[in-house]
Amino acid sequence: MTDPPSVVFVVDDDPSIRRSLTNLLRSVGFRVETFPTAIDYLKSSQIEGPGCLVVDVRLPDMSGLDLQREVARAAAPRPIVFITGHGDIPMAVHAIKGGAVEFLTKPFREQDLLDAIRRAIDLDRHMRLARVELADLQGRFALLSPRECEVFEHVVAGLPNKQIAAALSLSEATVKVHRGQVMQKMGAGSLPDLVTMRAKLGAGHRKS
Amino acid sequence: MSLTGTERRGHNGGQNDALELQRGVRELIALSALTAAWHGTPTAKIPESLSDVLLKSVGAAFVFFRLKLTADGREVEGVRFRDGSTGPARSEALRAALSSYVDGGDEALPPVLPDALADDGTLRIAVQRVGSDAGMGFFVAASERPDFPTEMDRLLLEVGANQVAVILQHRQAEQSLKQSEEGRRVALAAGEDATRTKDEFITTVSNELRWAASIVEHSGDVILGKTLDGIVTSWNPGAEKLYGYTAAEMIGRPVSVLVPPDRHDEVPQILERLRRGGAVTDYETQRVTKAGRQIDVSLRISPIRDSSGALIGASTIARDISERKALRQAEVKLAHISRVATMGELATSIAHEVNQPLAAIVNDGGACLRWLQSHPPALDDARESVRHMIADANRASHVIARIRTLLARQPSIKVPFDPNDLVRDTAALLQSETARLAVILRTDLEADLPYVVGDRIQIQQVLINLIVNALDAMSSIDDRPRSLAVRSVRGGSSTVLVAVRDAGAGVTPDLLDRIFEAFYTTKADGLGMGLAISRSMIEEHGGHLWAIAHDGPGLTVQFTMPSAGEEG
Repeated sequence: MTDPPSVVFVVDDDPSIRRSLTNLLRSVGFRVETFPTAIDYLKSSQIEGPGCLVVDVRLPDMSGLDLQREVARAAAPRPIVFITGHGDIPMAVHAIKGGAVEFLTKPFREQDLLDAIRRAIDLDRHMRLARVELADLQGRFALLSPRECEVFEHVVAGLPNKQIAAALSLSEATVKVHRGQVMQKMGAGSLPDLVTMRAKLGAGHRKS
Repeated sequence: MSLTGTERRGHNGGQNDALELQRGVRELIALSALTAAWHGTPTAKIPESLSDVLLKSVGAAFVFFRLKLTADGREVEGVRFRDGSTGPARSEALRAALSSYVDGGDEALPPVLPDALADDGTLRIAVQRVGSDAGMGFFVAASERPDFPTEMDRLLLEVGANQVAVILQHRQAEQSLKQSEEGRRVALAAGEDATRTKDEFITTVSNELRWAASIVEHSGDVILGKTLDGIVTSWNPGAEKLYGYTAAEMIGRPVSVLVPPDRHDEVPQILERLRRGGAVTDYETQRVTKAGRQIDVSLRISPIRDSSGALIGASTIARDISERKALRQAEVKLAHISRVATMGELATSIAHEVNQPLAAIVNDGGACLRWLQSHPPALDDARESVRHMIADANRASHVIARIRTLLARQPSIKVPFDPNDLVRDTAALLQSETARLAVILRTDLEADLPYVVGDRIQIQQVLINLIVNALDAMSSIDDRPRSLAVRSVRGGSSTVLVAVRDAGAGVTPDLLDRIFEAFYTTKADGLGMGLAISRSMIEEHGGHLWAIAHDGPGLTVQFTMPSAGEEG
């Protein structure tokens, strides 16, 4: 599966900063898109592609922190690197708690920014992979019959076949068949695999 | 008895010193604005008003005053207590305790008043004289604080005394001008009605002479005559009062005895100028009194000619400007303090303003290095980067230059300048602050305005004050755009008007004048001095500053300045 190349999305109201960041990031080989306001960014069509955000905390109309909340609600939230003209500790704490990759005070060392952007792009890539993997897992989980689901839950809870059979009022042989089906449909090679998959699916995925 | 205002005092540690200093600066600012605040206050109310301010600023238990309010030497006496009590018994007791000083002019007043007067222990007193050589009276402040009077207390009392001296001098000068004009009108009317007999002519002339002599006699100013060699030929009571020499002592002596040694070149130069028929106006210099005290005076010297037009001597009018000068220096200092304070409030925005171009330079610099290191070097990109670095460096240095001008402490210099330039500069300086507060600042500047004359920094300070006030007024507005308009227009033929209109809550018409009073503030952390200081600065420049309420939301505060070439 080939992803389109990552893009650094810069949101800053200062034209010098937008232009110079574009210059710097382009010289390193990144693709860059800039926006003067948070609203302009949110309205842009490229909201789904891979990449990260570089955002000035202080923006007209909608602040960088408001944008962070908005981005977090998206299906594919992009990691954010904050930049600011003045170090404000409460603001930085807020941003980092909200999941920001980094909070840099202008003028920052170029290496710090590039490192942060690389980390953000790596994070984005991982999150993307994880999302694909999860979607795949959810698809497989959806193929299980209600009975197989029950057996699945008991298996990952660590119960031996005999007890599962007793709990579900089935014969041990039937439980064995279901268990084989679960392993096959889920594509699990071993019991630990299956347990990991259950954990990735999370508590929300329980068919009743 | 409440001790608000004094309870934070003490001598245990640097924190208290800092608080004391902070408090002192606040009180100094308040006192320095008094002359402006007294605008329109009847002269008779001034001593009480000053006493009330001093009660607060030095935390006194009472302030007693005895002042000459008018040129006729009549004195008024009174006392104000901190707790507002006005009981005659208390005043009487106080008067008795102070009588050795008040009546005898005995300066050896005990530093501590007897117990009887104080509610709780002894009172320490400080005497502050008003006017040169206490010529205008004195006041006495008393406090139960054991360290009273501190150096700061003394300074506050002195500034208060200066303020009252300046305003009384000013009022007296106005009064005597009015009286002498009245006298002249009566005398001239008599002259015109008379038929042209010799006797009546003589009567008219002698009336005129008597009128002139009376002015010389009663003028508070020094008026003296001298020959072209500098020998004194006449010496009025004003000269005697200021310099300490009697007419008998001075007539026939060279005027140079009044000149301090380091200014001895002055007299020959002035005399030379007079011999050529020239005059000297508003020349500020120093003179020495009989007692050896150096005083600041302003001189006006004009040649006197006989009936044939030949030069026979010169007249000198001198005025004591020591207080005025001290006050002017205090005002320059005050303006500086309040500028620094404003810039402190704006520090966050200013840091942002400087950091933006710096950050851009760092970015472009890094990019430039990479373009040069690439194979083959991307020279066009590198060149472009450097071009932007230069532009941003210039932008940063402009911001710094603007701030440095505002923070510099310099004497007031009046120069002609373009009012629109000033508005644009100020808007640029506050651009970051307006953006931070999500305020949209619009400027509407009439083209080709005439230049105005003034201290550009002070006028910019006024404009910054008005804009910062407007920003504050809109900080809690969320239901409408936070819009701020700065407009400049020609006002009449010889003035320029600059108006700042906000969209804040506005001010009800009955409060329109109150906002200009010292200490009046609607802000939790405000000193309530900004508009009072601004108004006094603008009036000092011959302009006016006032506010206009609107039907809807918002307030306009505007000022005028005389345009260049049109003023006196």
